[in-house]
Amino acid sequence: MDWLKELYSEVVVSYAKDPKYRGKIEGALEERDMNESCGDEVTLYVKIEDDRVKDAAFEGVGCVVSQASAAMLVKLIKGKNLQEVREILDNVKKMLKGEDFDEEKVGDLVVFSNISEIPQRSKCFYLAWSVLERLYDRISQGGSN
Amino acid sequence: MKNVREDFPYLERKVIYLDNAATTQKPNQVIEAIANYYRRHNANIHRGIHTLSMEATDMYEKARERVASFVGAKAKELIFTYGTTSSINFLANALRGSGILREGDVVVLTELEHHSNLLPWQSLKRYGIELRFARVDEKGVLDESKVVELLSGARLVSITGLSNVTGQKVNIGMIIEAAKKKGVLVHIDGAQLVPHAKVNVEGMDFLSFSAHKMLGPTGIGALYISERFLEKLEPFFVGGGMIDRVTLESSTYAKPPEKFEAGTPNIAGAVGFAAAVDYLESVGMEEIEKHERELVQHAIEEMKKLDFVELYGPLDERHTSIISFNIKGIHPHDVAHILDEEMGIAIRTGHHCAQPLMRKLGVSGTCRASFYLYNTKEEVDVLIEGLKKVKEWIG
Ligand SMILES: Cc1ncc(COP(=O)(O)O)c(C=O)c1O
Repeated sequence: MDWLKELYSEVVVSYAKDPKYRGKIEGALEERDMNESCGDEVTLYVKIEDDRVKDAAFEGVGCVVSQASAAMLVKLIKGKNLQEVREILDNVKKMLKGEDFDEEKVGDLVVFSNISEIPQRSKCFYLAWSVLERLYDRISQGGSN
Repeated sequence: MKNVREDFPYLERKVIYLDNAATTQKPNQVIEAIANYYRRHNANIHRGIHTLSMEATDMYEKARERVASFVGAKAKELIFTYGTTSSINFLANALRGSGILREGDVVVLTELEHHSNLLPWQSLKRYGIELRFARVDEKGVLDESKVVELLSGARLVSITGLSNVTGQKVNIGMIIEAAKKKGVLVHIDGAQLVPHAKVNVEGMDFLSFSAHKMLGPTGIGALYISERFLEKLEPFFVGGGMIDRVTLESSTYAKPPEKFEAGTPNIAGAVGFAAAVDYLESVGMEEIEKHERELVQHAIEEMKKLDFVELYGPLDERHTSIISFNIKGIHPHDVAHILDEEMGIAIRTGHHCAQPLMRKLGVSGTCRASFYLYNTKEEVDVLIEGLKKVKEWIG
């Protein structure tokens, strides 16, 4: 199973375990979600300054897929402006749905490019991104730090 | 035990199916019985004069007799439902609707229960019915005397006969005996017990079980209602097929068990259910239990050798049929996914519809392997190999 090897490749597993992207940021925007059925959980902290992601981190427990996806998210959005974050989100969504997407926008997340064909894991994959989506909505509705 | 594997066409798929607590595979005999009913005898029951309708009615009622006798009940004491969940919902609501459970009455449950033996009782709290819970220990093991302690002053105890998470076979005999002495009604959730052990309804007031967990089709189950409640218990579903005389203003009901079966039932399902019971008896329930106990004991023994595996449940002679475990530091989803793709092993992960028990175990979920008569020791060995592989890969 080649895609299984990809799903559990060293890149993915090491992202899931890397402490670098984890932690709590005091005074940051915070949003949390979980998959009730399997207990995956992600809390995302994002600090916005001048319409730019100044800092980001997550706390969470769960499977390799959900945790690696969250770590990659943190890495991807750090330093990006809100417009860029929106573009990343849109491309990840396309990936989830199996539509064409811009590989350049999603960084290492490209290892999940066939996630739409693994429906039993797409919820794990998208967990952190659904949290980001809610955070983004809050920000664009005018909430800030 | 006789070799049963050739009767099970799913094995052509080369899968190692260890998800029997969720649902079981079906032997040719059951598939054929259902197909034969639809091919040659299909008609609606009860109200027909024509030949096919009489045949269908006869098959349906014979199925009732067959399934009832499997648990030592009389035919009229067994009603067909859509499964255990529907049996328990029916029972809880009918008991309350009939005034058998009233405001201030206490129902005793345990922390082991499947959500299907919890939520229907929770839903009665709005009528002033109280729930009491016997707790389990940190490995998820139930001490039956904890249940007995709670019986004083209770109206009903509803308890699983075999935990779908920990594989503990509960000593229901002890609970039934104590309940009888104290005048407490007994309902057994037999969803896991009836498929895996010889069960007799003696001493029970109510028993629920599902066909699909015992080689039969989905969409049909049974509720045993002790004879002494057949008249007192009011039906929960009403409509066609369960009446005696109907006017625009009021109606009288048919005799039990028809009284409890409104609407067209799952006739083919009943026929398949009876075929499943025939099959299980041809192998022998004692034989099946012995076989599964051997498999689970073998799995426990081998898993204990793996220091990265955490095991739950009693792990002693009470333990049968089902084993829950985790690989330390690896999420159950990852374990199941790799076992499936790499080894063709089907296990289940998650909370197994028992979130309170997961909380007690301090986990969000477990991996669960559950066995049945067609599983083999060799399959258990492949599972053990698979666990080592998962650990190597992402541990
Ligand atoms: C102990 C127990 N009770 C109740 C149920 C519910 O059975 P069903 O889904 O057939 O209604 C199950 C099965 O999942 C079970 O294991």
